[in-house]
Order: sequence, then C-alpha cells, then structure tokens
Amino acid sequence: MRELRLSSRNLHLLMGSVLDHKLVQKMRIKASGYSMSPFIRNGQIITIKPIVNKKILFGDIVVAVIQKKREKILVHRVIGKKNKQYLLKGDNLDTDDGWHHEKQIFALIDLAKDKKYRAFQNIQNALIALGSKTGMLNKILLPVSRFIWKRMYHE
Amino acid sequence: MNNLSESIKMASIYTASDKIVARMIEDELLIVPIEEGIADFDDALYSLNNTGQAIWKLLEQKKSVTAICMDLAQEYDQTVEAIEKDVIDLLNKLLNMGIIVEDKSII
Repeated sequence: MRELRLSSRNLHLLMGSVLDHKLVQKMRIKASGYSMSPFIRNGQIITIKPIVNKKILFGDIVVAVIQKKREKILVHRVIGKKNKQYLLKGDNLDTDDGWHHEKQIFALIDLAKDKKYRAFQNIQNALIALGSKTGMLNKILLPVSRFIWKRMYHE
Repeated sequence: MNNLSESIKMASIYTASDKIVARMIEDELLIVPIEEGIADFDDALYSLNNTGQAIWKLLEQKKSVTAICMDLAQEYDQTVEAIEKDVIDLLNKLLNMGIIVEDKSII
C-alpha cells in the first residue's frame, strides 16, 4: 500500500465518489497554485463541501471541472451568474475562465472556521467577487492592503 | 483511524468498513478513509497494488482469510504458507487502519 498523487481526471472521479458517500460531510485537500492568492495559498489545506440544493452564491469559491486540452480541476471564485451558467475567475488572475454550466461545478470551498462566521463569509465573498470582476482587487485593493499591512506591522 | 492493535483471525470474514470510499480508477484501487464525516485527501489516500487488489476482490466475495490464502495460492501457483504472510500482513494493516472490519453477520 502506498500514498499517491492523482491526475485531475482521477481526482475528479474520486472526489465524485467521496461526495456521494452518505457519511461524507467534507473533504480536505491541499491546494496547489497561486491563482486564488492571497485567499487560498499554494499548499494550503482547504475544506471542500458538497453543494446542497444546487445553491451556489455570487462570490462562492467553487471546485469545477473544465475541459481544455485535458480535464482540469479549478478552485476559483464565482464572479457572475446567469441561469445555470457561472462565470469563474481566480482572484489573483487578470482574466476570467469563462462561463461554465452548473453541472461542471461539483463542490464548494468552506473557508469559515466557525459556523457563526458563515454569514459574514458570504458578504466578504461577494465583495471580493465584485472587486475581482471589476479588476479593482488586483490593481488597487490588494496592493493597498499589502502596503498598509507592511507599514503597520513591519516598520 | 483505529488506535487498538488488532490481529486478523484466519477463520473470520472481513469486509470493507463503511467509513471508507474505495474506487477503482485506471487499474488502481484507491481508498479514502472517512473520519468524523471528513475525507482527508491530504493525509490519507491509499492505493492497493495488484496483490492487494486480488485480496480485496476476494474480501468482496465474503471469503474467510483461510479461503483467500487458498485461492491466491492456487491462482499464483504457490504454497498456502508462502502466500499467507503477505495476506496476513496486508489485512492486519487494513484492519488496524479501520479500512476493513470483521464481518460478524456471517457465521
């Protein structure tokens, strides 16, 4: 028996089976990449939960499977919603991933450590999504907050 | 998953715990334990090799450990004694990790 790393396609198949299991409420997995930085960092352990009643909100960070040259799993934010289509984007990227059908979205990321923060998390997610959609997040909000952070804590 | 060190019994039948997800993907049997409702892909994601998969298939057929050893000995043209150690080692590991449990519904 050995521990292993999976391809996107196999990870998707396995995640689907796990989410279907009656006892599973959440999954934990290590994120890789910088597209959602600073909200999700490379190597951070993230908690994934199933989507209940197809409820995906503007600003939610979702797990979606997209088909490019090969199947790829994305953990990106919903920055637009139209019927059953969702516009996804990495917070740290300049361009969005395009519109994707709800069938391609199979889980949500749960960043709230405590249930009582969940409502606050939804508002925060929506504000971040708005910033990400308009491009203000990368160009203004994050650089300014980094600048203030440095001034406050490192000088 | 299980802190108690248990040993398998040759006459017993073992079955996959309901606290795991096992799925065959591209010739690999992948096993994800579920603890307190959480499937931890980072800490514990396992794959069984070909021998492990052969043992797993026989477990699914509700065979006792003795029967599994006999079947594998026949399949691989080996003596039961030669097979037994590998089977017992793997089943002990799986049992102590909570991946399999003794099936007491079958006597």
